[in-house]
Amino acid sequence: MISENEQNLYSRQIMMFGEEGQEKLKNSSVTITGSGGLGSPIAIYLASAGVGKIRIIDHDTVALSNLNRQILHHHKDIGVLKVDSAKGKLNDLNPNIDIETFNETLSTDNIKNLIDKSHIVVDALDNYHTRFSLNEAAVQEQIPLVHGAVEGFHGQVTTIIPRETPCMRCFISKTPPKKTFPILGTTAGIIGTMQANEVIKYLTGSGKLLTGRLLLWDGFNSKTEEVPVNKNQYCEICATE
Amino acid sequence: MVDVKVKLFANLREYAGVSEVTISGDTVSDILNSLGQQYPQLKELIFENPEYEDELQGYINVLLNGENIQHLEGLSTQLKGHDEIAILPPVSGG
Repeated sequence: MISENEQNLYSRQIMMFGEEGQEKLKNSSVTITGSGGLGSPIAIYLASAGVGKIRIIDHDTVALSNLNRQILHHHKDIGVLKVDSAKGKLNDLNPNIDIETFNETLSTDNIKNLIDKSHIVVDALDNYHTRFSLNEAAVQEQIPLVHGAVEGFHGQVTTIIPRETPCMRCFISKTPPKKTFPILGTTAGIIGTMQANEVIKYLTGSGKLLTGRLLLWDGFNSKTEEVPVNKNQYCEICATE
Repeated sequence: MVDVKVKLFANLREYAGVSEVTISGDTVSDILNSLGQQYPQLKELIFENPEYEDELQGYINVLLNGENIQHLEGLSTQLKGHDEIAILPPVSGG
């Protein structure tokens, strides 16, 4: 049941998917892997929408050069663990929800435990090495995954439903090296917000998900496009599942 | 030879100044070679050895109607009418 206070808080979106939809959000658990450029808008919009349990994983501390895009973190947070900074802001934004944090580096050793019992996982990572580990764990545990990535004015989003849709490995063949990438805050804001929108649709059963298609945002020319992505029948990650 | 639509993304379209071109060829290799001739500035972004144009630059993904060509016949993949090629450089950040 949602309280009278919550009915008021979420009244404008209850107009869209009813109290039943709001209860689904309240009873949901979402893991966000990262609280940086993508993780910030994802967490802010999922918290404000009333997702009942948000788990955030990040191993980093806030640095000055993060603040052009990582809008969960402020100047006073420089040197603070990102998960602590994130938790403080999100608790202030919505005291009705649980924020669970892990100051850990994702690896093949801990990834399955860290995404365990999530209804959906959101990729807010900054490198493909970890993204591919997350993709593999999500496919094996059959947890839906919303992939997002950004660079400069450009970004991409797709939603992966294990067993039904292509996984990340079906369309990205090699692991690009980790690097310091150029990035504008608005690019991360747009892509992270699209990822949060996918999560809310999935949890409430609303709309049409970005499955089997990769949405590409070109902020330089202000264009969104999409390309189809197909399941690779020989995919080393999802073909045998 | 068939005409295929080629869509360029991220920095490729910024270097080329266009986001979509139509190119004729029989294989993916033909299309990428013609693309490199029309837009020489793309060669080093697409090919590992821009002089030879025989191997894709390591991290670029070329999708033919949604299939990564690495899972088809690579650069030798044959084309048919109405095929669409999307060339996606890696977008890595988060």
